[in-house]
Amino acid sequence: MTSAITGLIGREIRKAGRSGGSWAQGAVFFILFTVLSAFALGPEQEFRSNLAPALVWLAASLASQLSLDRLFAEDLRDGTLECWFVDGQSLVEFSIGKFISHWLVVFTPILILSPLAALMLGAPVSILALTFISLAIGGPALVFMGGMVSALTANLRGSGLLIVLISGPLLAAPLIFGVGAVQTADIASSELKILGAISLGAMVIAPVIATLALKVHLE
Amino acid sequence: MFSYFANPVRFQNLCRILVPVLGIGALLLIVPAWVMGLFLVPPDYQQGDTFRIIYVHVPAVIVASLAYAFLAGASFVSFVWRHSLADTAAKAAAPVGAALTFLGLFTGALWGKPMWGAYWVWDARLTSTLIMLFLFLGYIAIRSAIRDEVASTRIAAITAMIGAINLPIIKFSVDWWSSLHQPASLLRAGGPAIDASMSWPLYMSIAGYACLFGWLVLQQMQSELDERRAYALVQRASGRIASKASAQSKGNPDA
Amino acid sequence: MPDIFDFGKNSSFILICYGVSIAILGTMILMTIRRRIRAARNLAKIENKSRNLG
Repeated sequence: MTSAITGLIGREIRKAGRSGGSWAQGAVFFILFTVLSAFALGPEQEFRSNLAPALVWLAASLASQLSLDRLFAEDLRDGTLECWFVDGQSLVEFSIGKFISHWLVVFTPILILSPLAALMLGAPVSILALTFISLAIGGPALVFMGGMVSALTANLRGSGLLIVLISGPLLAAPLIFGVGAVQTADIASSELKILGAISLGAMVIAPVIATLALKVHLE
Repeated sequence: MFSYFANPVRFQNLCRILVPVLGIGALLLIVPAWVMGLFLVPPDYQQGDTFRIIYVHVPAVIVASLAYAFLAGASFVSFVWRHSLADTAAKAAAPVGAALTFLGLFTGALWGKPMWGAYWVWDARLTSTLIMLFLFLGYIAIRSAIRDEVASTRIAAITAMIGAINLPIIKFSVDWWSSLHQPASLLRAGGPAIDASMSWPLYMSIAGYACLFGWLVLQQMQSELDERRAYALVQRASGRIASKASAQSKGNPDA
Repeated sequence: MPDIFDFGKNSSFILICYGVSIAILGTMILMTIRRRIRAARNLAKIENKSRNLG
């Protein structure tokens, strides 16, 4: 990882720290979603515990899309992106840096809370670790895919719903294999491996596509 | 500017031949196919009369997939070579594709109910068709959301290409998923190879829908080009009037 | 309903499918023709005017 990326990530994290806790929005949404779904599902313990992996994954994939509309929009508006580009620095590195910082700032709290959320929904203790691992492996797919879409709409105000419409179909594959991996209750399941492959693919493709989109906005 | 106008002229000449051919072709293929499908073809020995839905369902789904392939291809050409005609084609194809996808899903649901006992099944084909509808809608939405002409063209093209990568992944995922969780035999029961008297109207309606798609896209493209040209003329004329007015106000008619 | 439109117990499914297909395809065709005519007519009008303008 180049120093440009690490510098960008450091700056993003400091900015998140100064922003008055808006980085926690994703985690709050995540917990709220699981609490409300527990109410929606009713008191029957077995029914809820069967659905727990699916709901935790659903909550995490939606929560990770939160605040994505601001990922590139501010940098485009205040000229940060243009400075970076005029400096001759790579926009691929810029998007990688942005994705990784979104992953660290927004997704990591969700990841840490995920065993707790699963426990609240009544999941058996035996699958808590697998829930955490599957989200750790699938997280980059969720963040990078959503981040790629947010680069498309960087020059729009209030693009939240549009981002969901476009990134929604992209989230189907990680959801299928993420939930599938937890349900197999097997650490070496092929679902988990495919999930990892999807994550790796997203990490390769998303920065390239985000760069194409950012260049359009800079033209 | 010149190369821009040179290309559409050639395109208009092409349309003068293609539009009537496709239009008449669509009419002469679809109407007889429907009449044969509804009234002349004998009922299927397994499905009875219900299989007659095939003549509106299968062509809609097939041509809708063709429309997405067309959209993605045209978007690629428009993005890489900045070919404005390709972009016009993509813009025209999206709503037609969305409508055909919707028709395919709707008729599929109504066919599924009497045949399999359910309007909707999360099978790979159905799911990827549904996702395709969302891709069309996302394309249309992002296109209309971005005001800047060039940016909206290029961003929409990227969106279409992302969808083209995503569709096979979805198909693979749902195949995997439903093979684990559901009896897959349900939808495979399309029956054995169908009789020639049944398949001819089907081929005709597929070809007819394809002609109709081409006709609609070409007509929309021509309208778009006309509208753009009218807009450009108005802009130029108002520019000329404005410069004339400013020249007169300076008292210098030669300028 | 005339006899030829009677397709047994699933008649309504078949007729709705054909009906909706005709309605949607027909609407698309009509809208496309309307836009085509309007665009061509508008362009002709403007071309005429700009030619008269010199």
